[in-house]
Amino acid sequence: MKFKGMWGGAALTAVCLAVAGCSGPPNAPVVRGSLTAVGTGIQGSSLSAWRNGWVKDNPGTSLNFSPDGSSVGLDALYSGQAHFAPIDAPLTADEIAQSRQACGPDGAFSVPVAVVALGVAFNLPSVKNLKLTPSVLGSIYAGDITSWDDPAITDINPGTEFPDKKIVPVRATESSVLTQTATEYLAAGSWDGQPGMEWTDGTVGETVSSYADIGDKLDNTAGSIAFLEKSAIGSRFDTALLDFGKGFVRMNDDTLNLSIGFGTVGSGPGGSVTFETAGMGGEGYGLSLVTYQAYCDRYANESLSRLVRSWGEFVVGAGGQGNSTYFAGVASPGKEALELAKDRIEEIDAAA
Amino acid sequence: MSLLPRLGRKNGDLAPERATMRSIIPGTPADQSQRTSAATGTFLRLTGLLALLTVLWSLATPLMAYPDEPVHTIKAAAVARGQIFAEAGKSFGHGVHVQVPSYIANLQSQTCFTFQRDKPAGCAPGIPTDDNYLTIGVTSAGLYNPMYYWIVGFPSLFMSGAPAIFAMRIVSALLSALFYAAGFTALARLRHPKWPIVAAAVAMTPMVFFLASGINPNSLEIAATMAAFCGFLVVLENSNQLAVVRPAVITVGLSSIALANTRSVSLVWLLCAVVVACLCYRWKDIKAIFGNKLVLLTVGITSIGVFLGLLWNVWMLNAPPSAGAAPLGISNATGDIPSYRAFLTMLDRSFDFVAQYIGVMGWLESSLPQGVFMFWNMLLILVLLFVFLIRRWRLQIAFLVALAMLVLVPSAMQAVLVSSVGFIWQGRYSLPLFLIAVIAAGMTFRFRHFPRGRPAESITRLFLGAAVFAHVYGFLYVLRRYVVGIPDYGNWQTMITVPGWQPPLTWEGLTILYAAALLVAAHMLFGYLFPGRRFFPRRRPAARFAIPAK
Repeated sequence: MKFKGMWGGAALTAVCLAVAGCSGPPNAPVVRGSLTAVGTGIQGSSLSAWRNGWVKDNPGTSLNFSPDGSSVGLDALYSGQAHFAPIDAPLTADEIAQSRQACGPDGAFSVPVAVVALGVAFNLPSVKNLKLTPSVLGSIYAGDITSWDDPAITDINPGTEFPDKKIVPVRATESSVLTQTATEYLAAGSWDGQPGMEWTDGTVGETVSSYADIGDKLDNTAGSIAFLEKSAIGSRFDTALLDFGKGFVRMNDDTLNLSIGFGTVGSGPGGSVTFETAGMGGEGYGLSLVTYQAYCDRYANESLSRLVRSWGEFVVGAGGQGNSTYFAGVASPGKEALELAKDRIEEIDAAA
Repeated sequence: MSLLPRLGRKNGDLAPERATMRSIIPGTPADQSQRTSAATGTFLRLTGLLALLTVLWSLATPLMAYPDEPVHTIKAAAVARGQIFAEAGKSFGHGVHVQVPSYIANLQSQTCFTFQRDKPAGCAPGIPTDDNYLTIGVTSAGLYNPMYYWIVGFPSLFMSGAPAIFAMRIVSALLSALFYAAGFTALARLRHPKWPIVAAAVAMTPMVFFLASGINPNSLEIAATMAAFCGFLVVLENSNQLAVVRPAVITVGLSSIALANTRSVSLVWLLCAVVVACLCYRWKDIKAIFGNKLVLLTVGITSIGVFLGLLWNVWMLNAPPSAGAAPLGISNATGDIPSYRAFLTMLDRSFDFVAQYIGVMGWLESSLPQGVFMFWNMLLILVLLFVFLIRRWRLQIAFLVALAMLVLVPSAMQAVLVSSVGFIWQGRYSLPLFLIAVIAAGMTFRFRHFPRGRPAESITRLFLGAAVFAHVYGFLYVLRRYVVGIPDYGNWQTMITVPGWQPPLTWEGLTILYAAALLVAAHMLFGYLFPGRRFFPRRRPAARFAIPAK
């Protein structure tokens, strides 16, 4: 029995030594920990690009992101269920007030992190350099223009032959800021519907559940047309030249950056930074939206606040913006806006 | 004398041999007290051995190298801290939010090497022991039954950093070892236990050991299914003398409770185990067990445990709704695949899953070498074909039903799930049914004579030696994958020259310990199959020649 006891003790010692021996190398980085974000799905691709770059720079970090929508993200921030929230619009004073319980007396603030361009993609291979106005597009989505050879289209596209083919508008039924942006553009013309996160009932065409499904639908439907993110369009579809009040403009990096360059930087409640592109009536390609991230002014401890600062500074820094531009196909909100955003993020503090 | 089961030999022919065996083989001695003490000893020895093997796998595998280990570890730490239910406002598309120590919430940062078999595990950062502030952890296992997690998460309450996670793993490994040992012990108490035990040993593939040693309830459900099935067999066989197999009755009860409280799907494995076990015996045996007070008491207690498990499942069906749909990666639903096509695809892949029963480690990126697959494929084909050497269909039917379940039940489940979560089935999910099928094959030819004599011993030594080699080769290969990675060229030498990662006790130390433990296992099994004989034959003393005095 003594023999057995000795072996048992030896085994136990071995396990203890093994476990003690794996206490990890002393290379734990200074910036380390896990962040959790809940918010708009529009930042999904950008967050992946930022996460990859940030984790590469800070190997002891990780990020969880749930694309549940901007309002859910804000609720999560208010209730302490998210460290930051990717959102569709800058925080209002009321929203900042709601965040004070989780974020300390100064509440939360928001900064612009990316500009997402929206194009009008179409599946009509015989037509190049298609030009469309908000009014014509509005009539298409209202069902007043149903054929590609409608005079309203041919009149603004002189010299282009259009087939007698049915126009099939494709749209996503999900609630999205992309729909908000698209319908705001239509509302600038003769469209009767109300701009909003979802298409109004009277809108014609075929539907898919999410923007991610539009590409395939567009590919498979001759004569179709749809609002789609620039990154999803890529070189897969041709896009229409749109009218923003100063002639027809093609969507590309140059025209988008022109609109951003003529954009307006501002400040919001709680030290938030705001940004607007030139948009309708301005220079460049104006069909775009600015997307934001909301952070707490104060976090529970120094480790956490350091972690959030590290994330935020990466996102609005040159590395993060390079990543999102290259891998997610979005544009930067402009140098001035990013610098102000960085300054504000650096003020993130820990609770005493 | 052949190792293969002899055809056409009847039970009566074995009477003299059995009379000899009864005094030697654990579980078959003549009187009850001997049987009980022998079974306890067998159980303790097997528990120790299996615990050693599984713990060595726990140490040899980098943290978070088991499938979905981060989310299960987070869930375990949360449950241990009393966060048992999914609360309103804490359920999001990517999972349930809990409050756990930062070093546990951040375990995803350890997975830099997953899905990349050529990347060593050294890229993972150190896990600090002082990051203990509570922060948000996300787990997609938030709605799972808390029982397993409560036990496994316990060490995280008083330990921190990597030691805490290794300790959690070891608790999980010990839990599995207990159930596997109970299963083997139960089998040893059959009247004709040798072939079923050989089959069960064949079923203990490297994948079974690997899964048993990580933090994932999949480990417990496989082990508990094996134990429940083996316990059922013994209980049914001894339906008229249940007092002598009391441990088996308790094994069935505990395993059933464990299964009902592991994952919702585990109850299906329990049902399959009951059906196959019943088919191995006659109706009158099944009826007879319900006349026994111990069985009725066990059924009563087990029913409470099963009811609680069911209650949890029903409760979670009405859990607070998630704030969003599961993003890609957690759900892969496409909506385009009709159920019938998913079913047929699963049938089509039936043989493809066999590799995952044998050894596709890590996050499905670390397959064992082909030599190991060849060895186990051979064993499995032999087991499969032996069944058809049995002439009486009544003996075959249980195995055929078990085999049909192995193919059809996962297919049916995947067909049901495809519209909501996509194509998610992996071979490891079917491992409980795999173990049932292989052991059922052993039950089919249990009445066949187990050969004795030197040729049979030699063949057994050969097979056991090959099994030890295959296990060690697989273990070493997995270590190589994590120590230096497995590129498209040979790099064994770099394990010594420039290891990119080292497990606790070093890979060399773990390999030696693992080989030694397997040799002990082979020795024990050989001694069991050939009582009084040794796996390592003693050298014959050299002939002595009398030297005439000068």
